[in-house]
Amino acid sequence: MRASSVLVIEDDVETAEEIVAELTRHGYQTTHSLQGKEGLSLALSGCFDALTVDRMLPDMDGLNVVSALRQRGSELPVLMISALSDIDERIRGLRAGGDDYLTKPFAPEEMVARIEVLLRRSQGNGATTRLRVADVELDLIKRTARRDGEILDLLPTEYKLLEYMMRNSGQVITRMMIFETVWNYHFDPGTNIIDVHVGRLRKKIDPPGVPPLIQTVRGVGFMFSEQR
Amino acid sequence: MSNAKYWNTTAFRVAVVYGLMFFIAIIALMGVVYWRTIGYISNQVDESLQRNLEQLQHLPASALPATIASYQSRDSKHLNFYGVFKPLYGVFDHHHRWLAGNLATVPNELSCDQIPRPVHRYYLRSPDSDVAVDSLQEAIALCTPLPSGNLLVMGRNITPMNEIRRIIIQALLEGGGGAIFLGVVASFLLGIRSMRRINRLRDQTERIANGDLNVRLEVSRSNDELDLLASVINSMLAKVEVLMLEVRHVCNNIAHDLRTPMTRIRSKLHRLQQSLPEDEQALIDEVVQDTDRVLARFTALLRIAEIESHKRRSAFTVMQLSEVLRQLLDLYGPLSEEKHIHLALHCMPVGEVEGDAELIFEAVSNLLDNAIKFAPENSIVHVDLTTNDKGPVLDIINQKTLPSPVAKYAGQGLGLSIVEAIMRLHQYEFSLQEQDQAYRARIRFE
Repeated sequence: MRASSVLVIEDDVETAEEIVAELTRHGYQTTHSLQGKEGLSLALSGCFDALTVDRMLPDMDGLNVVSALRQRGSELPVLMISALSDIDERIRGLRAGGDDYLTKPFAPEEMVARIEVLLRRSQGNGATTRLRVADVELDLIKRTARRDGEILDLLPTEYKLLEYMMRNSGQVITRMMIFETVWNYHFDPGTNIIDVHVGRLRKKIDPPGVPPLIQTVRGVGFMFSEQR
Repeated sequence: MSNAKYWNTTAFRVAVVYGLMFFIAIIALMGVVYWRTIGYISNQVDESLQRNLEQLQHLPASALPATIASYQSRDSKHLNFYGVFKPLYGVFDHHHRWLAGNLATVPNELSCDQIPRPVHRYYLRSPDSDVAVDSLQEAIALCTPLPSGNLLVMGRNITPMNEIRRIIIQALLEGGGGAIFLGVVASFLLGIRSMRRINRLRDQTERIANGDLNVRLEVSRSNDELDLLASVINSMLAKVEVLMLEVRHVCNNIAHDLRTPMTRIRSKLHRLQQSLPEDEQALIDEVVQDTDRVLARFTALLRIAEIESHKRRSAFTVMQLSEVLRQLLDLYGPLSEEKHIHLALHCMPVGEVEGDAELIFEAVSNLLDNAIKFAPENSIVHVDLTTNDKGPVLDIINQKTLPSPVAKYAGQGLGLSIVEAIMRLHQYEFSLQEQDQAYRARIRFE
C-alpha cells in the first residue's frame, strides 16, 4: 500500500525540518517547499494526499495558496499552520478552504494526528449511518451505542466523544482535537478535563473483563482501536 | 460610585460665600447711606428747632404771633430744607388753648422740657376757622415754657424724612433680596455646571482605570484650572499609553521570538522521547511536560495581547448566558464529581447579552476551573446567574482552602489575566472577593 504523501509549504527551514521529520517518522512521504507559488504549483500536480501550509509565506499568503487551490478544483486536504492564533484568523483560514487550523507552537504529534484525521476524512464515506469498530456499534440515526449487542447508556457528550473516536479509529487524536470537535471551542481548557471525560466513557465502553478499545497514547492523546 | 452632590462643589460654596459677602456689602452700603441721610436730616431738624427756639424764646409775648407768622411765610417760599420740612409753630396758654401759630393743639407726646420728640400725630389750625385738621403727618417737635407763662411749641414736619427712610429700607430689602436670589441661583447653576463636568471627568477616569487608555479627559475652551489639570493628565496618559504599548510589544516580541525556538526544543524532545526505550523515558517525559507548560504560558501571553488588541469586537453576537453555563457545567461536571464537589447551578431568567461567545465561555471556564481546583472535597461550588436593574450578574462561589484570593490565584496569574482581558474587551465588570469562608468571582454583564 502506497504511503500517503504530504506536501509541506513552510518558509522557516527549521520548522519545516521538524514537520518533515515527524511526518516521515510516521511513515509519510514528504516534500518541502519554501515558497507559496512553488508550493501551489506542486500541490496542483496531483502527487500529494495532504498539504500543510504556513499562513505567513514570503511570496504569497498561505490563504491565497489555499484559495487558489480550491478555485482550481483541488480537494486536497489542507492543514493550515500559523502563529496567528486569533479565532478570526482561524475562521479566515477555514473559509479560504483550509480543512483544519493549527497554531504555533504545536506539538509535532498533534500536527501528525490532525493530518491523519484529514486523510481519513478525505478517504472515508461521510454518508454512513453506522460506525463499527470491533464489537462497538454506533447507530448515527437513532443515536444509540452498543457493545457486543448490549445498549450502552451514554450521555449526549459521551456519545459525541465516542462518535469522534470511532470515526478516527486507529489514529491518535489529541486532547485539543477532542475539545475542538466535541465542544466546538478553540482554546486550551487546561487541566485534565478531557482525560476525565474520556475516563468516564472508558468505564462504560471498556468495563472490566472486556478488551479495552480506548487506548491512551502517552504524551499525545488517545486512540480508539482494537489493538495498539 | 454615586454622584457627588452639587452643593459639595467648590464652585457652589465659593458662589455662596461671594453671594453672602455681596449681600453684606449691600447691607453695609445701604446702612451708611441711611445713617448719613437720615442722620443728617434729623440733625438738621433738631438744630433748626434749637435755633428757632433761641430766637423766639426771649421775644415779648406780644411779638410772638407776628414773628411766627413771618417765619411760616418765609419757610414756605423755599424748596430748600426749610421748605420741604415744613415748620410747625404754636403758642398756647397754660391751659393749652391756642394763641398763635399753625398748630392747633399741643401734641400729646410733648413735655415742656425743650427736648425734641417724635410726634406721630398733630393738628393744624385752619387759617379761616378754629377747626383743627388732622395733618396725617409726622413731626419732630419740642415744647418750652415762655416767661409769660404760655407754652411755645415748635416742630418740623418729618414725613419726607420718613419717606426717604422707607425708600432706603425698601431699596435695601428689594436690592438685598434680589442679590440673595441671584446669588442662590448663580450658586445653584455654578454648582450644577461644575458637578456635571466633574461627573464627566470621573466617568472618563473610570474608563481609563478600567484599561481604556485611548480615553482622554475633556478639555473645554474656558482654560480654567480644571482644563489645565485635564491637559496635564492627558499628557501623562499619552505617555503612559506609549509606555504600556512598548512594554506590551516587548512582551509580545519576547513571547513570539521565544516561541519558535521553544517549539523546536519541544519537537526535538519529542523525537528523543520516541527514540528511547519506554523504561528510560520518564525524565524526558517530565522535560516535555515542563516545556509544554512554558509553551502554554507563551501562548497565554500572546492570547492576552490578541484579546487586548480589541480585534474581537467584530465577533460580538447576542447570546444566552444560561446556555453557556449549561455547556460549562456539562464540561466540568465529571471533573467536579471526581473531587466529590457538587456544582450547583442556579439560573434566573436573564435577558440576552452581547459578546463573543467563545471568549465568554473561556473566561467563565477559567473561573470555574479554579473554583473546582481550589474548593475542598465534598463541598459545593455555586454558579449563580441573577439579574439586577443593570443587567445579569454571574457569581461563582467556592469554599476557602487557601488564605486569600491573591494566593489562590497566584499560580494561575495568566489564566486570571486572560479573564481580565476578556472582561475589559467586553467592558464587563469583574471582581474577586473573599467573603466569610468563601471566594466569590463575580462578573457583571452591564
